Amino acid sequence: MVFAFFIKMKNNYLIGLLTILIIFIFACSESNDDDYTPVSPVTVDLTQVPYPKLSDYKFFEGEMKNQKPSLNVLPYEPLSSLFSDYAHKKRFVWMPPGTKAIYNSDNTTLELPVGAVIIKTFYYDNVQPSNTTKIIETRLMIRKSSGWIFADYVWNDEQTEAYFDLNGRNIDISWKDENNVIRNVNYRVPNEVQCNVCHKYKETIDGEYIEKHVPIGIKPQNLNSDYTYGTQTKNQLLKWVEQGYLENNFNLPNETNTVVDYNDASKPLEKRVRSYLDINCAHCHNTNGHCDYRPMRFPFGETGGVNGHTNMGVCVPTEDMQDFPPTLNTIIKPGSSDKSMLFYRINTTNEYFRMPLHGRSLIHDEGVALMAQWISSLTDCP
Amino acid sequence: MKKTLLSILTVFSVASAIGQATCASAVTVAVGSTTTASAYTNETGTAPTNLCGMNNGAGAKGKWYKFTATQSINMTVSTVLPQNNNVDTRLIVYSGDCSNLVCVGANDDFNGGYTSQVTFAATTGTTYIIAFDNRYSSAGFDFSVTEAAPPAPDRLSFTTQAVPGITGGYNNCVVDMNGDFLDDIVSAISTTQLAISYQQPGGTFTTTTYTVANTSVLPSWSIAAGDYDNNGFNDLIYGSGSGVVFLKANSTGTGYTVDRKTQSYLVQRTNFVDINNDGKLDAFACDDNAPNRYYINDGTNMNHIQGGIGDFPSGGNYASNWFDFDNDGDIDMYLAKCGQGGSGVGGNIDQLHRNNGNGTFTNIADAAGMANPEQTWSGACGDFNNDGWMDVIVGVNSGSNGYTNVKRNNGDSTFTSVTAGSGYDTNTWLGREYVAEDFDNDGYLDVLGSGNNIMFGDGNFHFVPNANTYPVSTVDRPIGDLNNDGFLDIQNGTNVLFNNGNSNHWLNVNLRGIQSNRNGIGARVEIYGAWGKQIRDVQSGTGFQNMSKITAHFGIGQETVINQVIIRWPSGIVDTITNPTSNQSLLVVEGSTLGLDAFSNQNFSLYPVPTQKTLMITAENINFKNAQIFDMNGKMVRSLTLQSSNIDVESLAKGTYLLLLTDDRNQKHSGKFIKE
Repeated sequence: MVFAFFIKMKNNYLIGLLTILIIFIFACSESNDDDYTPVSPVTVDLTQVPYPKLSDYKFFEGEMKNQKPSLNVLPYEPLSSLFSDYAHKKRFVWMPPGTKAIYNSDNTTLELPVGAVIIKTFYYDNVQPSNTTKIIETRLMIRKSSGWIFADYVWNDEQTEAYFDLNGRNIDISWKDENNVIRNVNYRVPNEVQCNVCHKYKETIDGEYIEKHVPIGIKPQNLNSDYTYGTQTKNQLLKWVEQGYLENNFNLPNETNTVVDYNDASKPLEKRVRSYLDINCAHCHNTNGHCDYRPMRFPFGETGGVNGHTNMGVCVPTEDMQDFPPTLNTIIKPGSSDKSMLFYRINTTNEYFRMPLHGRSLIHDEGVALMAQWISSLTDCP
Repeated sequence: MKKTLLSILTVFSVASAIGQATCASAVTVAVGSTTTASAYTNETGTAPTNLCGMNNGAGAKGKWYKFTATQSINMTVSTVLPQNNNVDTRLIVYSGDCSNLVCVGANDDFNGGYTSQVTFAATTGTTYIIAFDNRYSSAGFDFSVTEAAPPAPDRLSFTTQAVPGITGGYNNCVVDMNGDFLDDIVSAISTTQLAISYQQPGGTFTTTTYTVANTSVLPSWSIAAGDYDNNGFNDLIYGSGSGVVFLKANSTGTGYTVDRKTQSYLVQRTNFVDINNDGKLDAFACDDNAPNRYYINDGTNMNHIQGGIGDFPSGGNYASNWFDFDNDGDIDMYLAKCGQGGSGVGGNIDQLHRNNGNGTFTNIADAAGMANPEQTWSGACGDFNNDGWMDVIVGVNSGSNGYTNVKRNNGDSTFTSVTAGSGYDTNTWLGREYVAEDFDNDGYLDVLGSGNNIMFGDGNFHFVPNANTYPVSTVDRPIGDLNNDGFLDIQNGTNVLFNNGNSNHWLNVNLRGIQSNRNGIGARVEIYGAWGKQIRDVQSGTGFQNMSKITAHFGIGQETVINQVIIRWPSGIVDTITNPTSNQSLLVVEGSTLGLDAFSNQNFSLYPVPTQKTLMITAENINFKNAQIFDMNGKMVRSLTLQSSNIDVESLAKGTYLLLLTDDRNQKHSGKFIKE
């Protein structure tokens, strides 16, 4: 453990000196100083988690706000990511030594072993008034033997620690975006119930309703892309294998079964839209999701086939018409985004109408533009 | 040569476009004709800017036509013609003149297609201006102007009238707010402002705007009203996407204090209801994503509790409707559920919570046949067949697990679906709001539900819609008697649909609880006459999101004689009014009709009258267990277990008292006595 600390910190002269001192003490107490195996400092005691503080897990080394992962804490990034009021995100996965995930299919969540933790930090850059980076929260999903649990850690103003809090809260943020425009958000840190809305997955076993929680982003279809790990760039799924985090018994998803980055205008429009709907909408609008009683089926695997457009709502009647004008009586009306209920729902901030229900209070301009472009391109009902 | 031809063509097309290019130059078309309108491509016609409610922005170019009606008859202007191949047109019909265009009708996509059609009642001699724009398509099209069939006669009609003073974006609350038992209109304007339009005796409204402390949230999902501090003025609860807030009226009903609750959750239906029957209203809030919440009133605070009344782990709780389904004298709850798992196992399965008599509840939906899988956001609850048992019409907001389900209460704690032949079996309308009221005062409950219509009941589970739809909102549509004429009206935004009524008779019953909560919420009101019996349960918060009047409203058709009105209060006290006149609003104060004479009650008698030391109870075939004595302010002054038929009252101060007796079958009996 001490040795690992030495390796990671050797560039820092002061710490190096300190480390030498520690090594000296270490060397005096141990004799086999030639044969070190680096050991991850991470500690996840399933009988104790969720811990009161984020630092208790030791997922990060050095100053925690730098989010520099400890040994065996592996960063990852899905090809297509959930819009969360323009918050930036860093994601990591950790698994206990000797355990690995199971690959079930291209479009299902990787089955992680008991003890695994998924770590996702939400932050903004150029936060006003001083153009600083401000970390808001770090969300964890921890795989216990009974299933996934949620934990959320809200960062202090000093950015030195984050404390367990599943009660939810709102935090006002003002930041300068990529176009140098000052934007404001009343950022929502979710409570446990809100976590559950998106992450639940329903099963029936012997007529009994079973509610499970599942991670959303870690599907092979989302991870089949290169990621730069320090000096190494590698396909994320292959990296997980190399890391010992994934069983090596699968073929990488083919192009058809891999989502695209919906921001990448060089990719086919329809595939960008399907990727967008998958990561932003499909956790509720799927057969086992929160809102399965509406006709849309947005998972990537269900929007590409012969029923794809129908599953996306093309020419499907709006059920809950409320007082909308009759022109909004269709979920997607080919050629007319402003006659499409889906477009209306993603293009409003009114909490009574907006979609997604949770995690968004601002309009995702780029997502809305993508959807408008796609609807304009449609000419026919399926 | 080529260039010349192009110029000629251009000149020609401009010339042809001039005719219908502006309102002033509108081309006259004949009634009964079909006109071909060329493509907009090379035209420069002025686009109409008054879009008459179509909200998707103006077009770039327009076309204008007109005709003058030669008789007062319904006319239809339409592009719904086969040769148009579903071209995307937009159509507006105006009256008035070009400097003052008056909207007659407008349409974009007619009946699910892209073409347009407007039908309107034309008046002889009036010129109607027809405008099209190219908002969605610049292709050419044909349109027809034809005589239409006259509208079918309304079974019941309403006159839509603006009510000055209604304001803000939340138009979902009609209830008496100043204690005069005339329904008022509440407008939540902002987190710091609330307007109340008070109904005046003459049928006009006077609006007062109150500034309140920051409520943080608005009634974006629901609102309910009730007097939870029993001071004579109704209080409010707002249900929002992030919890609830209470607004409590002061002692004169002229100001509101704010109690924002800290729990943040997605609220659906809210109610005021005395869950623990202690005489103080509690509040209930459906949680969309977790077990339901309620706020128990300890006389000072509304204390948050989660669990015990609808505990499906991930919620799906849309509307709680409180009434006594098993006629045991305490209030039960039907929970309309939606979503969360599909048919058979999920959160869409409705629940029926039987009051165990002690403030706890048991979901007996399975045994009662009320575990309905339909995706419902609210049900209409009432006695549709006047058999003395409350029935439920399970409304739907999605067709994925079946359509509207009509459930008859069998009177033995079971319900049977009687949808077949009810008129709902062929009805696939979807919506959020389903409320039972008697709108045409024929003595049979109707349903204001989906389809912008009222389904009129016949007292035997048959329902027919009005021949024409009503211009009601499908979401904000609180109900009350807003001109005190005995016919129920419906608010729609800043307008009210005033019920034009008919020759039927009616009775409104208002309550003032003394021992029970002041509103009498949870009371059963029964009226008897030639029709037999009708019942209402007094409720706060019906349908999905609106607050409608608390008054118990009855229609009695052409009858005029009401033999008896019986009020069964939550306290157990029973008031009886004999032969009240019809067509009035009756106010019943709890306990006010209990007689003072020794033989006033059929079940038992009290003597001597008055008494000084001992009150003696005689009864046949009833064994009384417990007695409670209340003063006339509703304060309980004595509670005892009966050892004999005598009660020592010597220590009581002089005055009139109310005696509430409980027998060994837990039935309650009440009477009055005077202590000298």
